[in-house]
Amino acid sequence: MKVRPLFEMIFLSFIKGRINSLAFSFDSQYFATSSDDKSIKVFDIKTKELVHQFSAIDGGKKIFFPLVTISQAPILDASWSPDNRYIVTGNTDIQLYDLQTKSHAMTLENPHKKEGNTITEVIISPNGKTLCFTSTKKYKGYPEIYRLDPNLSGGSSSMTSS
Amino acid sequence: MTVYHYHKDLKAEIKIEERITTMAISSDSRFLIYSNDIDIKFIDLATKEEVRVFEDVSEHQVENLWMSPNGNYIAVDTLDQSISLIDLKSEGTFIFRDIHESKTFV
Repeated sequence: MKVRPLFEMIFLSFIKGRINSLAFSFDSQYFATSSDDKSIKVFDIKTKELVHQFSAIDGGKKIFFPLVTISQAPILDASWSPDNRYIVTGNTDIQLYDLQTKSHAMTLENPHKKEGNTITEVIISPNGKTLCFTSTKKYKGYPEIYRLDPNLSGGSSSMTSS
Repeated sequence: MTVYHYHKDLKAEIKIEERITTMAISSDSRFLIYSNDIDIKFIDLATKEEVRVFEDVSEHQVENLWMSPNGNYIAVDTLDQSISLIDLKSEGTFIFRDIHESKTFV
């Protein structure tokens, strides 16, 4: 096994845009990456081309801008909806992006945002009805897990802690 | 390192005599897939035998790996922040380099 010098690990992690997560679409035609550069990029597996790109938004009040990032937090995780239409991301809040309309669809507020906690993991259930996330907020040393039932058409949601 | 495989009340041990940097279960639940830093290896969970190896998938350390839901692809991200996409049918590898920006002005 190769031994990798510490300086290489530090140098490469520092100088390159860090990839925080990768998620395949349910139909296995695309994958999405999220990064410290506060963007989501979607690639077509067959053509190897970048087909969608979203810059993170902050608080859901503004639509993304292609060249300007206005979010303060890196995107730590991203997941697909089972119909391959939406990508859900986690940073300061949870954001849903609609790949069909190529626009931001919904913001689900992080309940611990004011305390400086960010979303670390987010996932949609295979039936598309439930969204779970964790944040840096800890309960007895463990991440708190929230279950969310988003109403994509109405924009409302209910939340329960588990 | 020892990987424990639980199935109902049955516990099986899979001895792997090397470092594991990341691991996953295949989409069909038949294989344990792991990386020892530079290679990707498949362990058959039924026989506990190593059945497939992709050697030197990257010049840099493999950090995470994912399998596509249809089981045809494996993606790994590496220390140089590239993505290596492995086609399990053709065994070809495509590397996506410099996907994300190194610095963002806010």
